[in-house]
Amino acid sequence: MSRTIVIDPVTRIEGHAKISIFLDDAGAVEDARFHVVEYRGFEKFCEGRPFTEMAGITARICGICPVSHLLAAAKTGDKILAVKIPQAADKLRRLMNLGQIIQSHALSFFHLSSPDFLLGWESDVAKRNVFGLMETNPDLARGGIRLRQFGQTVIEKLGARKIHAAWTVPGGVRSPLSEEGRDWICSRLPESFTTIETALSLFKQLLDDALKTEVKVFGDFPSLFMSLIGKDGLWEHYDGQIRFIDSEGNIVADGLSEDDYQDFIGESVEKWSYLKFPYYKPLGYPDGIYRVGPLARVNICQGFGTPKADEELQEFRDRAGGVATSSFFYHYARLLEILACLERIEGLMEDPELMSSRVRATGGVNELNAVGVSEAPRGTLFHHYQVDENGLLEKVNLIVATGNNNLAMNKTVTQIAKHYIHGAEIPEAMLNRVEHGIRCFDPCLSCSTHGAGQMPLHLQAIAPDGTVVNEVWRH
Amino acid sequence: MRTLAIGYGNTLRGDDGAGQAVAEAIAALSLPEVRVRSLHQLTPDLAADIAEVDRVFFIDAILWGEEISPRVRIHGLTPQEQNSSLGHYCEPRSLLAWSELLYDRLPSAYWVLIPGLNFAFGETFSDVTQGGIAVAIAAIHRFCLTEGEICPSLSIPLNGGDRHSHS
Repeated sequence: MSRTIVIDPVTRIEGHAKISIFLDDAGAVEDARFHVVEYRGFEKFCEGRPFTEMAGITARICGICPVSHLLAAAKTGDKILAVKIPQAADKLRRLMNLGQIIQSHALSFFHLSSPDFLLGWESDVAKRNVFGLMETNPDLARGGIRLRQFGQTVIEKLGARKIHAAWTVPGGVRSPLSEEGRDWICSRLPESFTTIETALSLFKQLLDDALKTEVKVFGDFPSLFMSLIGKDGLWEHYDGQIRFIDSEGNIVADGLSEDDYQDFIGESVEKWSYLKFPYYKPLGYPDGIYRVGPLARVNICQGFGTPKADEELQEFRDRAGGVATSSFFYHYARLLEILACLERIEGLMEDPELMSSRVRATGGVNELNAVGVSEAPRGTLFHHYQVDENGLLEKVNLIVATGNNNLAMNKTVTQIAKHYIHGAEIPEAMLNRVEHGIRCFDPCLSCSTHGAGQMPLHLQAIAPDGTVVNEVWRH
Repeated sequence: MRTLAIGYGNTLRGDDGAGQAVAEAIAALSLPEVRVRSLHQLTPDLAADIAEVDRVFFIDAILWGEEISPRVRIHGLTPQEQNSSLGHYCEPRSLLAWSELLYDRLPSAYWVLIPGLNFAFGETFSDVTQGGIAVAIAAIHRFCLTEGEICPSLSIPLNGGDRHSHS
């Protein structure tokens, strides 16, 4: 009798989701699905609003990566105004995005994912969390908190608020960096470098030993990778052009503009999930599977352009044997990106233009159709607006980073389930590994309402006739 | 007494934005030794901020049954490890536990819960929440001027009726 196992909801990811694992008659895993069961509807909600409000509205999609939406919305607004923003504004927006990537990656690595691999997959589930990590390695836990606080405060120093800063606007930004803000950032950089270097050292030790199996089975498969790429092929997070590579590192498409995203990205849907399934159009659905985010950016770039991160990148590629195809390397790529962000911030601190008062260009509605793009911590983010002559939104389309990774997340979950699950009896540590496959991508499904109490882990084995033949709750 | 007031919630979700509205009103009062945070959600780095104060207020909205007379509830909080629910969202008791575990600091803490009826998309408050916001601002303002401990459990009606306290 074939059966379905449902893990509902997935813990330690943003929002609400569940995983279903389909077993065949012999109890072997046939397939697995990662479902997003929360409908957001932001695209419809925005219609009729002035495009100038989009930064403020879409930033409230999420409390973790609001800056990504601020930037994509502002860049789309720049195009509607048809203005070139001042250079100082470009640098200030970049600075805010660097802070955003640091805080988001720090949360993912130190608080959500590291308990699994630092404390052990088989360790007591009651202790396999950030509290267990605090007891085992309090210095690392404190360092993670301080690193996240650093990234958040960079955002705050620029936007006056840590979350949902209404500072990025079409045409530029509202204000420059203050001297006090610059001094604070400079004062905290040395400590932040120490924390990330410690984390990198620790993680690489684990890759050499305890995590060898995870690297092989946590979503190790060929796929395309997509990200923005800067001048001279350097790592890019804010502007530049779009590049696709394959798993051998071959450039599949290059020099693409976000304006033409509908030519190279298709958007499919499945009836079992509210999350879209974007794919690389020339290869069709689902063969056009691609990955975005830190792993894609690190795989695609030719270098970071900063010494410490470039040295680490070389080691990363030596360990991966070229292009890293394992989704488990998302964690490793996050650490590299934090290091690169710190180095870029360090470089920016020497630039007096950050304190220039010329930070905003103004204009009217000069274009009725515009697409903006930026690299969110989790990957490439597209905003597409169509407005009327008064700047009121007639149509909105958002392709969010987590959606770009949807096909890859499903493939990762399937691979892990096939490796670890054999039959209906599923030990907790095995469930946790399946969940961790999703956490590799650090998906942001956005919580816009409150959680009611603890989120349980719900496992169901269901016969084809709908009978629940096995059921486990983990609180 | 160093005080931290943290108002949190989603300002695009109707009454869920009550916590932030209260926080911003408290900030506008510019009270001495009172720091204010207005946030979409609680995050781990707040543990470091909490460790630096003597008293913290977590201000949030709570879904309220329409059949029950609306009240602002204020509860004393103790640290508690929340194991399985740790998403990008943190819970006040977890943050207290983090502060205690990592920094050996445990300020007195209170959860100020404002009744909410409508959590759908929107930027306006229901009448009940509007009343709750006013009550919460007045209560926190009063507490911020108080040096000592606050009654660990208060229930303040919105209509000026009897206030209940529970020990």
